[in-house]
Amino acid sequence: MSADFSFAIKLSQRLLRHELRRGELTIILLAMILAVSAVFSLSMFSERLQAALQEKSAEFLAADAVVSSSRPIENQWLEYAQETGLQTSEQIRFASMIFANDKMLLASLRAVDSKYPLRGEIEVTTGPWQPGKTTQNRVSSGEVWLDSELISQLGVSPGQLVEIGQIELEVKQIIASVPDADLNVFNSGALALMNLADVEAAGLIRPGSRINYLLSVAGEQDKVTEFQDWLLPQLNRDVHRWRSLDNDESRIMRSVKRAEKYFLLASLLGVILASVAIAVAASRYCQRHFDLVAILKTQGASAKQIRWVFIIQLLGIYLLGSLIGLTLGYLGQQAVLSLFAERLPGTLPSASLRPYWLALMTGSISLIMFSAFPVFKLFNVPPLRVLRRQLEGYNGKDWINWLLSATAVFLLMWLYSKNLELSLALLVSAGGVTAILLVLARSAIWGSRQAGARASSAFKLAIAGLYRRASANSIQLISFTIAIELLLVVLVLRNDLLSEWQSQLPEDTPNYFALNISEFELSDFKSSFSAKGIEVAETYPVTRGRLLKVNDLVLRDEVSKDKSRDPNRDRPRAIGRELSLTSSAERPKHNKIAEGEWWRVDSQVPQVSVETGVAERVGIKLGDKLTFNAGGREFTAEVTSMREVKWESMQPNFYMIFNPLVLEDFAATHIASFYVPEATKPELGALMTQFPSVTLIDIDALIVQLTGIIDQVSVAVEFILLLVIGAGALVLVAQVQSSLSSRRQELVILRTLGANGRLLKQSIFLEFVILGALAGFFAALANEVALLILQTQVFNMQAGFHPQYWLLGIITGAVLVGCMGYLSCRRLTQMNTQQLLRQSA
Amino acid sequence: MSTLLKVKELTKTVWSNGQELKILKPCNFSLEAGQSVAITGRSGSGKSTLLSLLAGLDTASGGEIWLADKPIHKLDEEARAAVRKQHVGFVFQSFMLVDSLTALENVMLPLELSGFKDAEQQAKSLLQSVGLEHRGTHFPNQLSGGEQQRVAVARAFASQPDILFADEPTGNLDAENGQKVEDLLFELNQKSGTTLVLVTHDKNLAKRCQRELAMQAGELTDVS
Repeated sequence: MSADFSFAIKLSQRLLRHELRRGELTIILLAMILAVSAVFSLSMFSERLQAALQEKSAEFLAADAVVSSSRPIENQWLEYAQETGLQTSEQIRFASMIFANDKMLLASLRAVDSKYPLRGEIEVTTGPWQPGKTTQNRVSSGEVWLDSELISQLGVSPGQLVEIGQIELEVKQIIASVPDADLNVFNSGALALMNLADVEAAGLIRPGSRINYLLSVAGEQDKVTEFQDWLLPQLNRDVHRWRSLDNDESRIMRSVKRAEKYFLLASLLGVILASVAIAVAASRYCQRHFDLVAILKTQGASAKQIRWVFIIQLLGIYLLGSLIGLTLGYLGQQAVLSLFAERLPGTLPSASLRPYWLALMTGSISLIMFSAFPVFKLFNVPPLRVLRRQLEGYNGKDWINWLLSATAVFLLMWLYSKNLELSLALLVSAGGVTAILLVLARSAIWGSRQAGARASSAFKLAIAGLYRRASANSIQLISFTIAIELLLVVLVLRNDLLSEWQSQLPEDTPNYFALNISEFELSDFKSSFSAKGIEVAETYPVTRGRLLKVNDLVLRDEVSKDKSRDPNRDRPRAIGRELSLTSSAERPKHNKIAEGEWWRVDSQVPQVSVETGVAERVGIKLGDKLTFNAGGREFTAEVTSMREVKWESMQPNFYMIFNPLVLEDFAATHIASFYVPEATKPELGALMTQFPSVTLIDIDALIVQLTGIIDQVSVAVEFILLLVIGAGALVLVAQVQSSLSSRRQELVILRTLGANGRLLKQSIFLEFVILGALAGFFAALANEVALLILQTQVFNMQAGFHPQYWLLGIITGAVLVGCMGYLSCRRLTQMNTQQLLRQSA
Repeated sequence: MSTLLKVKELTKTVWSNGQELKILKPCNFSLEAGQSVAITGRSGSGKSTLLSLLAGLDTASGGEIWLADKPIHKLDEEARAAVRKQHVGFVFQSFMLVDSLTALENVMLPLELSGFKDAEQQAKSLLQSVGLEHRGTHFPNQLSGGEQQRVAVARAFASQPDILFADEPTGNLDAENGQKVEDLLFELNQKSGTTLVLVTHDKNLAKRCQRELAMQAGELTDVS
């Protein structure tokens, strides 16, 4: 080992030991620990939770991806999926009658293979409407599994035979739930599962039958992607439908995707805050060592020796910070997992190595890039500083520092998000916001001087202090502003997301639907349920009908694979099936008018309100005349409004709602939704025997799945908020600490001039309160702009003004910055003049 | 006696607000090994500038400085540092101890820089020689001003320099402590034969030196 290196090791070891013990490295070490632990725990937690959420979300598909088709699945697709290493499962869905005990019932039949479901579980029960239990059994040839509705309506029990098409199958299990239950209650008739091998013998598939063929795949993400990339170009949009976790636009995936975006954004903000803390701390670390470098140079230390001393010391801080950070990060996310164990999936998948290297890279990038410029200045401190204390290292060209810092922030964001565009957009907007804030900060400090001219002496002194350190205070003000703004952004988004999710599924969300209630039994149905304490509040009349024409254009029903030869290709596309049409004088509470107006109760003009999604798909506009066929009769109504429907609300939702006069002459059955408490469920079987024609659909399992995911996402959101608050607080402390030495000098002068302790304490407190309040105000301002962009562009949420956070921003800023500033400077204000003089010397 | 320091036509000029300021007008002198010299003058007369040039802490605008036969004026920063390590010790008005090192470690600093194996032992005996053997584990902020300056003196003599530059060494001390430090400097100067160059405006301190060079408006006069 060379003498240079040996000296450097000895000295840096000694400095590290003493400075650690004396708390001089606390801020930089804390910043390092926080950056590493925040990134580590965030990435590990979100990776594990996202994997769990994906697994859970995959249950809604019962696979990782599904291609469905109105034509049989091509053999080569199946072969390719298997060659790729994916698990596969085939399924055929169709409607058919089931016969037993001289009764018959239309069922939604699923012919599945022995691998169904690839994801999620089937739950079976011992009797109709009883709680379900997971089963590992699969549907074998010769057997059929029926849901509670079929079991109770047909009056069969396990072991008995039912007739399906030309064969008889043995009832083996009573289905409580399947993972990929249909979320559309009108599609989800009574469910029966049979084996794929029995379909041909049953003779159920005939030309013209409405059949849906499914190929489900599951496996590693890259393999699914490979299969998807190969398959998608071969699909015909009119015939095939591809659903995967990525493109699934179902209500649950929208929530999960929104949560993922929030994770990413909040984590990025947390990482940036932690790295800003490192930047501030690194700069202060270097400033504190200017004298040491000057002394070492005076004593004859070579540039190489000095470089080694600090490189080793920074390396020591990095290693120590990383080690503690990784440990705390791991413990932190474990603590969150155990704290919220009840709200999280039983076993979370283990994380990859990514969180480890991501955390270590964040620490090293932050430390290297943010301390590069201050360290460069440090190395260039002239030995003459021992005689002229005001001399610093390299002066000027501060843009290099800004450039390095911006590069570091960009690298961190890119590394973390793996999204170049998002990182660039955030960097450019952050740069713009910083520049605007700099101008605002300077103006505010200048303005405060004018305001302070007529104030009390403590206030005057505080304002004078602000003005005297205008340059340093502007930077501090920006730091405080950014920290508070990021906290507000994360807080507001969290609150908005959570309230939006919670509003989707309030506590008394209906967990049962009853279909086919005839007009004459509706009041009996309501009163019987009411007698058991179940309120059937909302019912809708339902008439089945088909949309035939939009204005004079007949909708094309048949599709051709070769679109260029399709003579109907310019005509609007039909919805493809019968719709459940309803009428209502009032707009359903959970529907929102997007265009047009809801009709007057006494309107005598036939009108229809159309759901925006179907309107877009078919090409319906406001004012169009729609012609329907229901029960062989045609009728026309004008589109007078478009509705946004919250499909995730678990309420009866309709594509088409008419004003009452349109459907009054049509036969209708009714649909009702209601909430059945757990304790009352066993009584449903007996209740339903009074209404044999009514179909009861249990969506409880689905709601449990949905609320489970929302719960887990909420935990993650709260955890991220905590970390971001921690990072923000550290930035504030680091900034306050960095101004201590200049404040000490001022206190010496003021003390010497006879200012009393109380006045000094008040003025320091006020100075920080003013800085904090200004920062809070700017933060609230920046928060509104950031939220407007984020909510409309990233989260597809409704943007809104957040006046309650303005006051919160200002008060939080004033209180937090005021208290932390005061506490940090408290030691200084408690010193007598002699102690201050000695410290300043 | 041999010549340890030789200065020829040494000048220092700086530019301030577009104007040329001659801080040090051409000066010539030489110092013998083991001599004690005081550089006196009013504040702003250029004393500290001269000291910084002689010690190689700053670069001259013109002229030559020869220290222990080495042409300081021709050397770069690294080479000047090497000369300082080998030949020069410093004592400053503001002590300039390393805050994060104990008194003992501060004294060990130049010894370790020079590669002494028994740095700790030597430092302890140096602390003993300045009467601070019991304060070795204390940090500078736990010491009084006088004690801090005595540690600084011990550090300055640690590497047995040929020449010791002291900038107002008693400027921050009360009379009693100032006297102690003064005595210490002269005692060590005599014991080790180190050339002592003191920058001071204290007439009494200057009188104790064998030679006095007076600075006035950048001009140096030998008034011994």
